[in-house]
Amino acid sequence: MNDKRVVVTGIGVISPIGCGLAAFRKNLFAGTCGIREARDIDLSELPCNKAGEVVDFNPKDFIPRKNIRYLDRVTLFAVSAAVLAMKDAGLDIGKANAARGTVLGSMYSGWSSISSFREVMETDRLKRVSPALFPNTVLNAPASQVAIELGNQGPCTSVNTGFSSGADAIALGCDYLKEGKAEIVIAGGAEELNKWIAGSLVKNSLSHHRDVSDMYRVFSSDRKGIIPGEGACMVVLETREQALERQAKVYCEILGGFTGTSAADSYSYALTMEADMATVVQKALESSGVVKSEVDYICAEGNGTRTGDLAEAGAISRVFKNESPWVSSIKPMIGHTSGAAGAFNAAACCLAIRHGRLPPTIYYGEDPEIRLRIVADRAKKANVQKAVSNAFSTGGNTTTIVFGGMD
Amino acid sequence: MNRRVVITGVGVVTPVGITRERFWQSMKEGRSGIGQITTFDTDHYANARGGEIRDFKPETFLDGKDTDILDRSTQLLHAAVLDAFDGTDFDPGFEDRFRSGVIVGTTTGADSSNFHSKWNREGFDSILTEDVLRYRSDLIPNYISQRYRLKGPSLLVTNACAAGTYAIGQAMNLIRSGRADFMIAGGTERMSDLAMCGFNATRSLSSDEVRPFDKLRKGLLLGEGAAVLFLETPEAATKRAAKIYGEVAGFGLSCDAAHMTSPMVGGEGAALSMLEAIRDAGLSADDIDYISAHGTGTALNDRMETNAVKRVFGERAYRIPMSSIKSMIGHTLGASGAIEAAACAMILETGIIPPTINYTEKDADCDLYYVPNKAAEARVNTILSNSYAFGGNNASIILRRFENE
Repeated sequence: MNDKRVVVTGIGVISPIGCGLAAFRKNLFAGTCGIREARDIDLSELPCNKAGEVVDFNPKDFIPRKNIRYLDRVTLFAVSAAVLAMKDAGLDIGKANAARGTVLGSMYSGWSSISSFREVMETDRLKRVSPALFPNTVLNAPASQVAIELGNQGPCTSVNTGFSSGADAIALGCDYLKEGKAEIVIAGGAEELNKWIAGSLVKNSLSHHRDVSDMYRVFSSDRKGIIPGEGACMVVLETREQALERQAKVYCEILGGFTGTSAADSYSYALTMEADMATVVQKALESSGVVKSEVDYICAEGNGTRTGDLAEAGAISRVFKNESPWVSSIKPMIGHTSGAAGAFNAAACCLAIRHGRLPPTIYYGEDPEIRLRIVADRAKKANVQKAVSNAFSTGGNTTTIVFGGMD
Repeated sequence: MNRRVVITGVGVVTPVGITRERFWQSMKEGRSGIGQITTFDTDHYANARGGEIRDFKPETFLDGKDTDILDRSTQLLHAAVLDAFDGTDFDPGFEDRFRSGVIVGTTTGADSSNFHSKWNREGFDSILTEDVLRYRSDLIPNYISQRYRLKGPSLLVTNACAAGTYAIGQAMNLIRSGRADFMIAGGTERMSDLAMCGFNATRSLSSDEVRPFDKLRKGLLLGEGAAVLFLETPEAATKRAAKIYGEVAGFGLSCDAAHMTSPMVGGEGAALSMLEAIRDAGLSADDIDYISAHGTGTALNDRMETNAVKRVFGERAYRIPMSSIKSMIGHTLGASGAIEAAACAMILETGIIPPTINYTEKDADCDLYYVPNKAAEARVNTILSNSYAFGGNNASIILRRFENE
């Protein structure tokens, strides 16, 4: 590793609270809820059909390419967000460039495409599956289509670390810049929602929602677990030096981060998770040269499961003792976007630093077991110089990224 | 920080051997592991054969409960990890468990579409928690992390057929840059009916054998398997008196960014990743004395790969041995790069180069030295191992004989 410094110069978002950064930002700080009864996705077999669904999404608005009808939903999200991020960064699109890399995190990639493919395979006796359906079933299709659309001939990598995927993609993108493997990296996460994802959450005891009037509550004792969401969030990463030289708009610097895995013995799962998460946060701060008293804001994983909320709150309390920074979860607004969630949290930190506001935890209710300083219900004005984003997954993957304002 | 990274464990599970030793014996003999596929219906496909692991008994490698819950790709992976442990009770956690991790590559992973099938067939109420866990690919590396209590990164790389090579390269990077001290890196793939159907639809399946680089090559056949390397620093390896197979010295990546399923036939993208790996290792093209080919046996891949090697090595390309072990075990997709890296470690160890079998006739477009049909002996110091994937994702790694400086 070396002393190269990495900054964020572009953000592209396709989300349940808006397609495009302007709409997303406005709603993020207004505390707009993007969760409602699913309209286009069929969740009728599930106990509750509420979701953070992306609606009024017209990919043609974002992707100039012909034949986009062959791309599936998760790929359209990823490519659209990537194009938006590049435009936001003031970079040209489509010209082949070996110095540009792509890293995409997704937990399920084209699950719908994979399932439709299997359905044809299992129902057509002669197995006459259209060859055009095959590429979307391959898990690296979304990342590769981003690379094709942008002309990124540098490293193109697809990662799956469950709920941490988007965060790990951004961390890996930073590595590529520091290692000199690329001069620009577009990194983030994408996920499309379908009934299988929603069903998995229910069967995995991560979602207990039954009633459509129930909100997605996080860090609150009346929580009922996860409400799924979907979307894509991509950021443009480049070296600080290059960004300053081309006079780019800079959101913030990525000061460091740490990726760990909570490997628990089954008897004390929750406690081990709390201790391991605390270690990850601690190591992320150390790698960034940031002391805990400097941290102004934490965009939490905050997924609204009892185990997850308590472990994360406990971990933050272990690290920051009685001086909790402001903490919020944006999931009650957009839902849990699985593999994209870590990237959305990272974007929230970038926006908090740039605009001096903290996104709220909407529908917050208290939990006596949690002693954090929660940004409840409404956005808060604050001078944010150092922000931390958390992501963790049920398999133990835990990633913390530390962001800093430009001095 | 720029530390060196050595290979101290090799574990392999393939159709021609469930342990490293048996696998290597087969490689030396040029034995084929291709046979009739038994796990799913193969009617109406261009070929009913593939590299299936017939005698794999998961209960040998896993506890009863885990045998029932885990997908076959995780079972194969864990068997490979056990093989790399060599029956020792070595604890790779060292002083700080957060500095030991796992990176695994796969193409189809746990194949989530089986979840969908069960749901369709039996209804939502019949879905069990185990079904969710079984079809979540992200849990594949997590199983290894949990089992050995490794608290560093636990990453699944899903770069299709280049994923195994990505995994090893990325793990090497983590240790080299000082962010990790020990990594288990590799790939896993079980025989996939979905991939079979897909490659049949795209007319990529061979109607007879796999004949990489042969004029009569007709396509690929699928295989299954897993392989892992244990990676650490020479200092750590020496301290615990571990055997050192060799060194992972370079990692190069590139993307064609041109087409989802077709490679750039001129080999421009593939050449970029090779050059980057060589540069990353601080070497020149002249240092390479064996190339572990991707060599799938499809018309396009083999021509592209030959062109790419010529781009990088010029006239020397004709003299460097380059072989494809896919001719013996089939295309193990996301595991292939890892299994090939394991073979490379054994080449460094034994000085024997496995052949490209089923080779019959020279192709005017593929006119390099592919080590046809019989293993060759050579002192090999430095190896370039290539993998190419859907989406034009190219990856190359350099493996070297380890010399203490």
